[in-house]
Amino acid sequence: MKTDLKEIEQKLHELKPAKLPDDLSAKIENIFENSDHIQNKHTALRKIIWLPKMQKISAVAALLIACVGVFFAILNDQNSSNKTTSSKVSVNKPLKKDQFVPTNAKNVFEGVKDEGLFLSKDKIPYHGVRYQFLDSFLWENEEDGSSIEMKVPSQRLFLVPIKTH
Amino acid sequence: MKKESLAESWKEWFHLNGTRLLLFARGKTKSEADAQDVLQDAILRLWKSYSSPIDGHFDPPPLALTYTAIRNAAIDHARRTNRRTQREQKSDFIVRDRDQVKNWFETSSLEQSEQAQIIKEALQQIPEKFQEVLTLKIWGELTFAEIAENLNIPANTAASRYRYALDALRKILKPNSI
Repeated sequence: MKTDLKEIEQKLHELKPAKLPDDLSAKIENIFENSDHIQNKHTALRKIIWLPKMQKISAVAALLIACVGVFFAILNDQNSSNKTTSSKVSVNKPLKKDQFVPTNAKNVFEGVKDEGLFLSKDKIPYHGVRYQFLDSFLWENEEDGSSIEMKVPSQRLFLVPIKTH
Repeated sequence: MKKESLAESWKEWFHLNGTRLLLFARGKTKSEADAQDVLQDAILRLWKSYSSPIDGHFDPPPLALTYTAIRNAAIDHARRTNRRTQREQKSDFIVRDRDQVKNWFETSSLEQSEQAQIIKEALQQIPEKFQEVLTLKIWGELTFAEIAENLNIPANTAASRYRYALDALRKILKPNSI
């Protein structure tokens, strides 16, 4: 370090900070003495600081309740699955002999029928077209080769709006 | 520990360190009134944190922590003052003049008083980051490691800033020297 700098450093070391103003000393000492007054404020502050702790406790409680809920939900699921399996066993076993399995389903188009003109409530003309189908379903029993066939006629009416210029 | 003895311990601690703490606060603020406000605020904050000794004996707050408290209080105070000044400037109130800064250093003669005044003015002219390191090192009696921790800078930077501060003071106090 240069001599000049050491000299300045020495000068600074020789200087001592000025004494505190009396009024400031008194004010600060007052802080220490009025402990009761500030202690109350401190307790009030602590109350505010306690808030996160309470939140933590409530969070833990909520977590605990959630855990209990999940536990019971799992327990309930297990019970219901047990029931299902048992019911499957009880229902499926006697049905196995007469079990019919769906093997075929057809949707046969049979024809179109002109239904003429329609006029809606808001006076828009429509052309009615009725499509006719025959839906057939087939079930077979693998055990004895018997089958059930069901034919259901169905029709759908389409209203096609007619453009008028 | 009884309340009376606790208060006495705090007073004793403050009598030992009060002058250097006020000097640091003066360096961080722009007026004597602000410095005193900041010091009170910082002491109050520390007192709140340290006022309940658990094991029955008083542990004084570490000086480094006290300087940090003053620094934070000064920042808060500056923010408040800025807001207040802006508010006052917007309204028709007159912003009060900065009060006269008292002597920062103890003096016993007129010559010393003049020299102290020159050094105080020189300290106010150098950048704040240099000034705070210098104040903490010389009057705050902290090591470079403690200063570094306090200001959240590397110890080498603290040492460099100290040298720069001395150099800046030299340029102001001895402008003709090389």
